[in-house]
Amino acid sequence: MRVEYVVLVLLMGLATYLTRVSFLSFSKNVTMPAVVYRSLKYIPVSILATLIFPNILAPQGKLNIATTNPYIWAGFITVMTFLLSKNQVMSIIVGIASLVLLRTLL
Amino acid sequence: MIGVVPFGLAYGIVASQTGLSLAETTLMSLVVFAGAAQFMAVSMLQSGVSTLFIVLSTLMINLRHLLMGLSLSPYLKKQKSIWHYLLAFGMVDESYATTISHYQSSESDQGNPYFMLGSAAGLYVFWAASSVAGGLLGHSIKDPLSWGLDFAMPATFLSILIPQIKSKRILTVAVAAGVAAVAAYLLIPGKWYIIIATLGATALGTLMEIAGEGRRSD
Repeated sequence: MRVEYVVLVLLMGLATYLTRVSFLSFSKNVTMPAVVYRSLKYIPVSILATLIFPNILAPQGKLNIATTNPYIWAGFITVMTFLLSKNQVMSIIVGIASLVLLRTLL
Repeated sequence: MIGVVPFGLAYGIVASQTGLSLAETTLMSLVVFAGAAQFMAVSMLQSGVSTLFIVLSTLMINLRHLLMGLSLSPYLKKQKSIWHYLLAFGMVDESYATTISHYQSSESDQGNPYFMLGSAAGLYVFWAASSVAGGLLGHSIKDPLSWGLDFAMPATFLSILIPQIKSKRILTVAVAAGVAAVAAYLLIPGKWYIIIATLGATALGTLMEIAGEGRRSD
């Protein structure tokens, strides 16, 4: 294995770890203002939505909100499957299967 | 767990196609354990980008971890620091999403660190194993993300997001974050859209909450 590559991987690992560890101990060491504390509960849904929406509405890096975009329908089917079955694994599998199917149809 | 397998496979395939050995491909998954950063790194390696620039890009692509850590920190503040150092390594998108929704839905204001440890450890094993498998498949597969597996991650996150939407305000925040993310994703290069949309939507939710209280007390 090339030395430069190992150095690169270690530095990447360090950079990644620093972003992960730096704020995880935050509440232990710092008392946050009340307004920050109450805002924290909105972070998870916001992050999840930012990770989901571009993949569905702009799948290849370009905005595609046409009815022929299979990701929009597959997203809808995933949500409906979850709401009806309350089963996470089932909704993921049905979602992926529907995308594969829709891709051949649309 | 299943959400990371396609990405691990895809990463391994792409890495082997850019000329990394199986050991090199696996090493990155074991040390870095961050899908988006690894994808970016192998494509940058292929186009001959310098080490410094790849590391800086890794830092930027991973800035969302700051917000994840911040939002998890109140649930872990009574744990010893060693837990923070250990759990930080395994705080990837999926373990974060699973863990925070578990902590938020539990009665206690403190989270069980073993829950996050288990989630992260499971993902780590799947990530490493699927990277190896992808590296082995290597050249025999052309376009790994085109068989619907690119939907595995959005589908996984959708199934974690939906049960968290328990009020109109949370729904508004999620939709605002999503729309802002798409706009920022199209307009701003890099991964800044995640940070920008998350901060904006979080601020919106907090303001709505404060405004709602103001109305009630009038």
